[in-house]
Amino acid sequence: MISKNTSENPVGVVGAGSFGTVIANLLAVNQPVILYARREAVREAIVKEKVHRGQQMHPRVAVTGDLAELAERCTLIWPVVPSKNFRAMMRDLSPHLRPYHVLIHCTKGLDVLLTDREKERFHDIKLNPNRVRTMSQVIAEESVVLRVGCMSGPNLAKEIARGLPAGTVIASHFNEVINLGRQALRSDRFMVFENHDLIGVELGGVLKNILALGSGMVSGMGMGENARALMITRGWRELMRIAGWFGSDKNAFMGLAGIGDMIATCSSPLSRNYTVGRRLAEGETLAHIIETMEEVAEGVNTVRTAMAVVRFMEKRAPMVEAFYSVLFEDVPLEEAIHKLLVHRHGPDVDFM
Amino acid sequence: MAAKKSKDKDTVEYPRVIPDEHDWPIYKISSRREQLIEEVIAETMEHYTQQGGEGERNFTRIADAYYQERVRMKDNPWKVDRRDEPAFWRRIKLALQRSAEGGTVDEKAVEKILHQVVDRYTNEIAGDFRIRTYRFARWATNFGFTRLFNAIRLRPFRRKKGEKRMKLTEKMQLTGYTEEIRALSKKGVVILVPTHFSNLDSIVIGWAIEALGLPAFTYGAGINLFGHPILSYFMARLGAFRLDRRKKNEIYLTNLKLYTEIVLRKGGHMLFFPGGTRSRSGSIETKLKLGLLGTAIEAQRKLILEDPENYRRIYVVPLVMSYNTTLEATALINQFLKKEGKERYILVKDDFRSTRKTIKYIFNFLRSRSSMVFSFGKPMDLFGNEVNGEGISLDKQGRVIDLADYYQSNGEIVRDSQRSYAYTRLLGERILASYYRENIVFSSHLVAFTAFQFLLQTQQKDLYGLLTVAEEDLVMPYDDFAASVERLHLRLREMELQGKVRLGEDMRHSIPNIVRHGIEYLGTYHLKKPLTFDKAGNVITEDLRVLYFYHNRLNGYDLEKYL
Repeated sequence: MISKNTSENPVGVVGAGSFGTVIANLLAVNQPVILYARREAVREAIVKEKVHRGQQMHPRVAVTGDLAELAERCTLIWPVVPSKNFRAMMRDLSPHLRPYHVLIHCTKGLDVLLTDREKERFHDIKLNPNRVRTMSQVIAEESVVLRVGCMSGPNLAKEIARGLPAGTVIASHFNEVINLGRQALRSDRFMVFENHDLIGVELGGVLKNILALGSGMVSGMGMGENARALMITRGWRELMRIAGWFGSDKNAFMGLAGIGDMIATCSSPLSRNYTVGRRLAEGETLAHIIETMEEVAEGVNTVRTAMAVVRFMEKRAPMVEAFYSVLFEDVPLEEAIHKLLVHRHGPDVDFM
Repeated sequence: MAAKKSKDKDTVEYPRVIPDEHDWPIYKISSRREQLIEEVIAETMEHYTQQGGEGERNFTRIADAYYQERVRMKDNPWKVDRRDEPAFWRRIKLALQRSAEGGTVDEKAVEKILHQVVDRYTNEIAGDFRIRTYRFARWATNFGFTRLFNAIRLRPFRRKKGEKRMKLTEKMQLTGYTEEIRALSKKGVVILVPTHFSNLDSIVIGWAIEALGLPAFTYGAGINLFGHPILSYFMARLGAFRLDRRKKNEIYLTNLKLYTEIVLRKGGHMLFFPGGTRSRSGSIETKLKLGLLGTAIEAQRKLILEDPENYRRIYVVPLVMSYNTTLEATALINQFLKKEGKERYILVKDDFRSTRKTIKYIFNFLRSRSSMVFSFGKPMDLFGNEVNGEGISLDKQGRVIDLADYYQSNGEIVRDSQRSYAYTRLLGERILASYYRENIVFSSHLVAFTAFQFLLQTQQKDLYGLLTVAEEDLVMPYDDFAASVERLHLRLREMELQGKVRLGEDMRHSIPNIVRHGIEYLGTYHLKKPLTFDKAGNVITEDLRVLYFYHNRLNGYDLEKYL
């Protein structure tokens, strides 16, 4: 149903990070946008400078610090908040949501509710996959909204900001949600594809960050393109197995939000996760990298969560184990990568 | 009126929510059966008009139905089928041919034919409810069972010291959100969705509904059951409507959907096994058939449209039944293994399904001290929200939810079947999650699970590998076994505190008692015991497959990680 007044109704974006800003600008082409920024300084800067995170703000983007106002005026809301803060954001937003709201999130991370004791011992806990939540599941748990979707794909924020062509996937169990998302984003430079496997699309976007980290490491060490291709391809197989433990189907991994996203993030210095891997290989410490990065690299936490799940499943996952040992156990990168690349054999394709 | 504790401790007696059967929704609906049928026919015809009722489309619908019905009558005739069926469909065929004689389809004529088919199906489906039959059936099951039961119990050599006459209510306990459900049954429509393990489920649930003081529920019963003269007499008058699984044509399925939808809208409480058939593996349902739940979502939408200010609400109540023995365990698990294991599993022939065995099972159940527990889950609305004492849906912050908001697009309540389907799926997930939470674990379930996992781990085999080992070779030393039981018991206690499962009374004892009690009560009916002790006091099994069946009851809790 495409009616004229859809374009008059504003849509909401929650989170004014670089990707949130990109989304807000993209959406503003077709309708007014209300962008929520938590910090007052950020709001003031956006209003005053008209530039945020290096992006020129579209004149139709209005900024607010009031979630109630945003929920009151917008039916369609795009949460774009790091996974670490996602649940807290939902708890703030939830009291203003009604069952007619539609949420399409763009966060490629996982949420785990841990007890304090577990947090302290995160390095050796076993995590049942059914305790891990994707963002759509967090939305369902924290709010009354059922019409949920996710946007995922090879969408490097800086390229979209420059107006380069790109495609994305909107995944939802509801056709209605996909159509609303497509309608809001319609543009001749941004293609939108649909997928009904919400969890599969979410996991594809989340897990591929593990490979982006690894890809950055291999590149940073100057091991060559052959080694990188080897690592990515074998790693992809491993990720699909891990996704299976979460009850996800493999198909979404073959699409734009799977392979497509992986190709973009595993080869581009514009990817945060790739950058973390590369800087590690160049000798920086993880603590220092995280401290100096402007934004969160989701992959670091994803490796931690994935490793805890691997322990629970009592199965082998060589890539995850190797990257985990580098990130959290101070194992020298050379040693971990070497261990990964030698003495390995087995079937090539056994996952289709 | 709240339930009161009777003289015997632990037995709660529930007065009827609506004392007079004449005031029951099911009676009010069926006492005007003709009117109901008229309404269903009218709405069904209206449905086709809205769907695009051009002559061509209706012509195809009828032609499809005719073709499928002809195949069914030829390949799969049942005794219960009405004799005039072939003649009826012949007439339909002829009329259909005439309607298209001029080369174009005569719209009016086709609509008339469609009406005839809808009329016939509606009359076939529609249920009935007779108070006298209901009273008799109630007397027969409740009073009759009690008599029978006490007669067995009171045989002198069976009676133990201090034992007194027991009531059926003591054998069958109702726990969980019983008061809430009673209250909601007066405020709106209740759909009871139980797990399904045994053919006896439908009988005992009827009893449980009565014992809870609720008015009778309507339910869909396979049309094959109406072939049995006595059964048919009762079913037809107890509010059951007829389901024919063989009929898959669009006209029939639409008819069935609209019939249940209208009964729900009129306030008829309904019983529906969402698992579809009995659990073959013995595990709690992992996947649901959503058909009727989807109907409920659409029924709720129409109720809101009819009265936006004060609409009638539909509630879903999951129900888990726990008992120590399933009559058909052997047959069910064999069917399961045959299907799952394919060539790896060699089927051992087994007898089942005889009246004698059924009676023996009931006898055994009544005679033993083992009981049956009905665990009624927390009632929810169709979107998985909690409801308050007034039956109003509340969100996580305790705000009142207007259900109309779920059906809105651009501020309007619209029909969107894909959306309804997605809602139905989500509801199915909520029901499954509730089953796992409300499941009551008996000591017999625990020992069965422990034993089978113990064997898998000590034999270092996978399922089918283990099933080929001769039972004589599988001995579990008592101390090791008890230690495993203790570990899982600890984990279950922890999960109970977290609200992830519920434990039966017999799980409150010491580990040796749990082991002894569990083994004694597990599968009391079976000739070959799933678990027993050998002379040296070790735990052994006489029937590994049946043990596997009972083991599966605790699937899905990841307990094997704690062994």
